[in-house]
Amino acid sequence: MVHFRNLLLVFLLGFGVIFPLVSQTSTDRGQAILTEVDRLSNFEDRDFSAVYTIVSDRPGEDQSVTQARLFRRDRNDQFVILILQPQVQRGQGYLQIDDTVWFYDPESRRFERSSLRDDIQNSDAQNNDLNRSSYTDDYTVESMTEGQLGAFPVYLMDLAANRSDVSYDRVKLWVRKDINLVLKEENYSVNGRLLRTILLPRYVAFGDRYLPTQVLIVDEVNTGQRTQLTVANPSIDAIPDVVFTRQYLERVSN
Amino acid sequence: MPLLLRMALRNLAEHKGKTLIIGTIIALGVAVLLIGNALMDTAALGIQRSFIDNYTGHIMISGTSEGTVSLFGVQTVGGIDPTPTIPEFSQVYELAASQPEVATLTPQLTGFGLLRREADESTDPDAGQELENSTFTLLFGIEPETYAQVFSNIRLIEGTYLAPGQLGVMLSIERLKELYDDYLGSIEESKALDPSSTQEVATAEASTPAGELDAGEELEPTQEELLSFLSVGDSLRVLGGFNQGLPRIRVLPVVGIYEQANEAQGVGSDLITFIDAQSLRALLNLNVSVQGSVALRDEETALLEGFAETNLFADSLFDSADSLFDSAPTTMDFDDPFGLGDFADEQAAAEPTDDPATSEPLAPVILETLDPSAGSWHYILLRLEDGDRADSVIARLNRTFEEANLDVVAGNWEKAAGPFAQTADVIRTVFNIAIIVIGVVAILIMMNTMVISVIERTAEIGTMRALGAQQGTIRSLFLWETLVITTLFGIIGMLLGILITWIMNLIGIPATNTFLQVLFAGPVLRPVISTISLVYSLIIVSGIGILAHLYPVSVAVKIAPVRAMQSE
Repeated sequence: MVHFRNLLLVFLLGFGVIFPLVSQTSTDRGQAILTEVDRLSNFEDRDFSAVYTIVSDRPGEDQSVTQARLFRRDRNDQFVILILQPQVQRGQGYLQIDDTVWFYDPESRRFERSSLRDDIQNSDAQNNDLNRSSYTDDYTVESMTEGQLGAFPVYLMDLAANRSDVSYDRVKLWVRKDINLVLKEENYSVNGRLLRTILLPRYVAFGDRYLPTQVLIVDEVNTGQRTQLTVANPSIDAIPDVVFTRQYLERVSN
Repeated sequence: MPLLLRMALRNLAEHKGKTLIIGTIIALGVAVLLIGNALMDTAALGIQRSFIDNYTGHIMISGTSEGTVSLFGVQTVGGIDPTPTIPEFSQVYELAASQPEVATLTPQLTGFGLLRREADESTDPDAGQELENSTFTLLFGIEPETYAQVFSNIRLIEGTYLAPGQLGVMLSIERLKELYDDYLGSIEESKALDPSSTQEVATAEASTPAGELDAGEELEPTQEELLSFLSVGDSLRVLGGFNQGLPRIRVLPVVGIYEQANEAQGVGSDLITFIDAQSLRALLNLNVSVQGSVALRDEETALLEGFAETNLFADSLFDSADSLFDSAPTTMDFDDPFGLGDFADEQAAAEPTDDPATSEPLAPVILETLDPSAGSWHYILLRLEDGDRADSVIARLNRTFEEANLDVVAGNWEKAAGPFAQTADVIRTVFNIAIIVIGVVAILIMMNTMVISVIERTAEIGTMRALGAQQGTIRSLFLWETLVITTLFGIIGMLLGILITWIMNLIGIPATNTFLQVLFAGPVLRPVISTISLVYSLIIVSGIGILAHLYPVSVAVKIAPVRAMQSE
């Protein structure tokens, strides 16, 4: 009987001490993977530009199509999104300077305050979806397990927001194991409701950096509403400094 | 001639005073009824014809909403809600077009907007004040080709009708006058607020055709002055989307300036500005880019087609960078991020110069022509070969929509006209209530007069009863008297009503304000009496006569023969 009691004590002590240690190790590893996810998809030492085609399906409506040119300078947290199509919105643009996102309408010739969380031209895509990846800045890994997504072994990570101004309070990521690329993402509200699912089945490599070239965003609140983003003409050539200014948007749009 | 009729005529002749009182009430009642009905009927018919011919067609198809959807937006208790777009538009459009009774149909968008002349900031004291001193308008976003087939509600004074795919507005001369007045108002305000700016204001005034006029003078500007203030080719700043987040702005060229066709006047039409549908969609934050307007590659929609998630991640993830270029990669031209190339150069070359002789207006912006049956639309308006069949077509369409599980509804012109038709209904209801009140008063006066008549004739009725006249005979005698007086004075009233209506028709009643214009469905009302209205008036008056005689008769039949001996 005493022997059994000792065994139980050892077991409980072991469970109480070792499990948190294992768990701690798992989230630490998760945090490291998350850092790698950000590193692989950001262009810290280079500029990046591309044309995005954003096609949205809404139940009962015709497909809506927006084409936008993106200029990104990740090292300074700067981006410019310039609407190319449809023609009636050509020249409208979004510009991030420091922490502020501005929306420019060439018709009014005014800059209005916008946000990374704002939808791009009525699609399911947000300014944030085209911007640099910043999981480590915005989220903390709560748990991580391993699994499989199609042909790829993945880490399944649960993230919780560590700041209040992010778009989603909880995020679930499916990260490819061999190269840490996000293949699938789920965005949840504060009360755990699934809001968006994002699938990223195609990437292009620029040296050791990667960019998703096809992205599907599924609106889980409005059934049947989904948006595909497709990248064309990607480039990591240098972009003149003037592009990331208000004057540039005013000049090229008018 | 029956004995009772002769006795009735003799009694009426003997009591001339009372006969005249009752007769006058009847005649006036008939005349008022006739004239009132003629006014109401003519106005109602005018409103109906005006709306069907100029704005609503016979049938309107719209999306559904908790509020009342009309061509002028969605009215709710809290105000105005965004108008729902028609889901599965192409399918709904085809279903509507396939109805054999449909002659023509057109889609439409509606929104509220504010207009301002695109300001030259060097001379306009009000430049930059977007919301102040702007002119309110109701924006009708149209597909010009089909709209012109369904409605011929405008006459162009200058310019052209919108072309399919063309960006721009067609402005009414009334809106232009409002714009002009608001502009003069803004100059006045500037003077009052900043007297030191007199110099600039003087420059601004001089730049307007009526600059020589004092803005305070209430002189109507001439058409020439208005057209010099803003004419075809000038730019107009349109604000819209107030109830959908930030107001949006489009700067659009004036394509045409029009006056309303006569029959289109008075139904709020002076508020309307016609605008191309794409621009209105942009203002209302609707889907502006429909399938087909941008060429898409297969892979750009591949993920939207449906797939098994595991298949999506079945093989290699990577594209080669080269495969992502439409053509061989070229150096980015940062001065031309839109890739417009030569077009941008041509536009730059076509920039107006300071020399007016070489300044040419820019070519109109024509969007790639879109299928009119595609895109976001609020309404489909249908004109039928035979308007009388509207109700049956509406019922059939609504059945079809329900079976196809389409969340849309078809309604008649009254539903489409919304608040305007309701105004006419309210006035009609008020008129009918007034008629009922007048009727009750008439019954009371007639009854009172007839009771007095009965009392005066107590001896006579008592004698008749003593001589063997039954209660039925007394009752018939009074009925005859009522019928004679009603018929005789009813006809006099009818003739009077017809005469007054004819004079009104000849002179025409002018609508002196917008409310009356809406009510009259035009600037002048010329009432016409219908046969139905004649019969209706006669029935009403006969009814009143019969009701009024019931109580006096009941008093009369109770008179006992002995009363003949008691009197005198």
